[in-house]
Amino acid sequence: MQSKTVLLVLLLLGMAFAQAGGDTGTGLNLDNPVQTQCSTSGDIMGFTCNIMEYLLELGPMVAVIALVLGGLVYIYANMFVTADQRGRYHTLATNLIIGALLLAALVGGAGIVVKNGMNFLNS
Amino acid sequence: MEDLSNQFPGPGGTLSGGDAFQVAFYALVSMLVLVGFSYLLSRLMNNRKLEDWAKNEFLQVLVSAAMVGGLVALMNPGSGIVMKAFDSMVPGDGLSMTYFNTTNASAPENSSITISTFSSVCDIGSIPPGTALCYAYSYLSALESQITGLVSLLFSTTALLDIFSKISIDIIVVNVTPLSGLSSIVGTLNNIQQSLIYLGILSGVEASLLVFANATALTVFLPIGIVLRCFFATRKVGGALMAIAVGAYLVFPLAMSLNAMVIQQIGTDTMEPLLNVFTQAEQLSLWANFQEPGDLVTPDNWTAYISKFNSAAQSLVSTVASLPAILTTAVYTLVVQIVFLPVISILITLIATKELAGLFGAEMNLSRFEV
Repeated sequence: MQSKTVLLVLLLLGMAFAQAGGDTGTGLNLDNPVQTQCSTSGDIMGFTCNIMEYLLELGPMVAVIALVLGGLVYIYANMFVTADQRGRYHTLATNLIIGALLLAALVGGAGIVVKNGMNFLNS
Repeated sequence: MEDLSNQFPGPGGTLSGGDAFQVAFYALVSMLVLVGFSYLLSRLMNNRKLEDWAKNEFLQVLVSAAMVGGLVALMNPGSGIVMKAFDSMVPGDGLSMTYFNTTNASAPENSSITISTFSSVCDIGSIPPGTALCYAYSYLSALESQITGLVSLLFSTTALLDIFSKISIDIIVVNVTPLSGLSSIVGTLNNIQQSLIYLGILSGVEASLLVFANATALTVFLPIGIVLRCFFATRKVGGALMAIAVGAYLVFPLAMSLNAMVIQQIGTDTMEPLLNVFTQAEQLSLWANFQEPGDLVTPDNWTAYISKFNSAAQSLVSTVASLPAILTTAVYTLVVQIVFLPVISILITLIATKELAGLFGAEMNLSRFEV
C-alpha cells in the first residue's frame, strides 16, 4: 500500500513538472511537446509529429474522463450498491483513477522523460 | 550522401538535432502516450498481459531514448564508448605487424607498420586512423601488396624460365634443348600465379567490405536503425539494423585484426628464396652474361659462354627444385590469411550480430549457423 502511495506522489510530481516546464515557441519543444508546431509538408517528420500531437491532445481528455468516471463509480458504489457487491465497484473505481493518473502523468511528462532518457548516455 | 549521424546531437551538446532526431523524438513521445493508454486499458480490463506489455514498452522507450541521445557518445570513432573497447584490447605501444614490402621493386624488404603510423595507409576510403577498421584495412592492404609483389616476381621468373626451356642448340643434324625440363615447372608456376591472382582479388574484396562498412555503418545503418527502433512496429527492423552497424563497424574489423595479431608475420620467409631464383634466372640470361652480342662471333668466347651457361643453368636448376616447397608455403599461408581466417571472422561477426540484435530487441535467424 505504501509503495502505491509513493507511486502516486511521484506521478503527481511528474504532472506538476510537466506543466511547469517548456517555453512557448516554434519547432521542436523537448520539455513540452504539446507546444511543438508540426510542419505541413506531409513528409515523415510532419506525419509522426501529427500523430504525436493527436495523441497528446487525446491523452489528457481520456485521463480526465477516466478520472471523473472513477469518482462517479466510487460514489455510486457507496450510495447505491449493497455491501457485498461494493468491493468490485471500489476496485473498478480505483483502477480507473490509477490508470487515469498514470496516463495523465505519462502524457504530461513525456517530454521530460524522453529528454532525460536521451541525456543518459550523453552526460 | 548526407551523413545521418550529424542529425543527432553530439556528447554534451544541446538536444536539438536534425530531421532524424526529431522523428525519433516524436515517435518516443507517441509511444509513451500509447503506453499510458495501454496501462489504463489493462487496469480496466484487469488484463495482466497488457499491463506487462505497457511496462516493458515503457522501458523500451527509455532504452531507445538513451540510444537516440547517446548515438554519438556511443559510436564516435574517436571517443565513443563502443570504440573505446578496441583501445582497451590493444597493447600500450600499439599493434604492429611485419610484412614484405615490395613497393620498391629493386630492393624489396621486410617492413613493419604500427597503429600509430596507420594514418597514411588509412587515408584511402577516409577510414579514421587508430580504429579497428583502420588496422584491419592496413592488414589487408599489406597482404595485397605482398601478393602483388609475389605475382610480379613470378611473372618475371616464369617468363625467363619459359625462354630458357625453349632454347635449342643445333649441332649439325642434332637438335638439343638442354633445359626443356623447365617447361613443366613453367606450367606449375602458371597455375600458382592464377591462384595468387584469385587470392589478391579476394583480399581486395575484403578490403572493399571494410571501406563499405566505414562508409555506411555509422552514417546510414545506425541512425536509420535507431529511428526505426523508436517505433513499436519497426522495433525489430531497427534493432537488426543497429546490430548490423555495430557488427560491420566493430566486430568484423576486430575479428580481422585478431587474425593479424595471431599471424603477425605475413609470409616473410617465403619471398627471399623466390628472389634468389629470380636472380639466378637473370644471371642465366644472355643479356646478363653478354652485354655485346658481337662477342659471340669469336669461337673462343663460345667455350666461355657455354661454360658460364652450364654453371648458371646448374645453379638455376638446383634453385628451381626448391620452388615447389617455397611456393606451396607462400600460397597456403596466404590461403589461411585470406580465405580460412576471414571466413571464421565473418562467422564470428554473424554470430555477434545475431546476439547484438537480441540485445537491441530484434530477432535474427542464421539458419545452419545458429549456435
